[in-house]
Amino acid sequence: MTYLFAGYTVIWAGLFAYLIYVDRKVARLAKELKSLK
Amino acid sequence: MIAKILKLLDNVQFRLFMVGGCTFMIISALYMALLWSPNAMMASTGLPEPPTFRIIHFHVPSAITTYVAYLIVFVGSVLYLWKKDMRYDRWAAVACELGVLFNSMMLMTGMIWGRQRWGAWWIWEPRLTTAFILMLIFTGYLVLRSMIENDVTRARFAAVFGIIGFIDVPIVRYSIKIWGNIMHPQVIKSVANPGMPPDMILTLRYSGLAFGATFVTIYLMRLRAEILAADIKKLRAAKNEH
Repeated sequence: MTYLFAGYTVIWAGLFAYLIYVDRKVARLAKELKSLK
Repeated sequence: MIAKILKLLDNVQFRLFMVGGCTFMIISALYMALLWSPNAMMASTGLPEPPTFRIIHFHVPSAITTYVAYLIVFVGSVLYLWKKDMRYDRWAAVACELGVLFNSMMLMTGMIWGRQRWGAWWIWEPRLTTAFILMLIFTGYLVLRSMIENDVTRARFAAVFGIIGFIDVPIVRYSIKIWGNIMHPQVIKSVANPGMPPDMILTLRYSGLAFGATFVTIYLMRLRAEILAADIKKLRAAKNEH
């Protein structure tokens, strides 16, 4: 159960990390576009 | 409508709302799947299933999300070939990236379950083989995209590839019906009569909802990032001309 819990959490944490990465990328690009305009 | 939502994503509060919503759903889905949901009973022996059975709350939603992602690739590809609008090519490209991600999760979780139930990480049976081929096809789609420089040529080739590749999705989905008695179980017999305790069905549905919300959020943000990158490229090119 411990391994399952760890594995399950790791995969969800990976998805969440990817979500945060994409969020940061949108923020950076939006800022860059604003400065170019 | 979609364009309006995509523009809203430039707003930090809106992104915070979406990411916060996903975080809440992810944590509550984890709690429900691992602690709240009841143990399943084995039909053959009547004994409780080993805890690895709980992987169903991850495996089934990732499979459904994979099919949805590839359906978007298919629709985006058809629309691109029809309307010749790069917007649809972007829909397909981003959906394919996420499709491959969820497809690999579907295979990994299935392998963990199979190791416990079958005693082997992998068995070359129809459902597993066709799902593996599906991932290879759409990984090929991404490789193809990375190999072609010209935007229009890339979009055209990728659209044709995406449409042909989608043929494997119904084959994976209906492999149990097509090949009959195979090792992969049909977990949900029908929507009306799922053959599971109500709490387990509720957990499965909620987990599906959490996956869906995470997929939609990442998909829209990736799409917005692609649009912003394209706009920056255009602006830079225009500035260089002057």
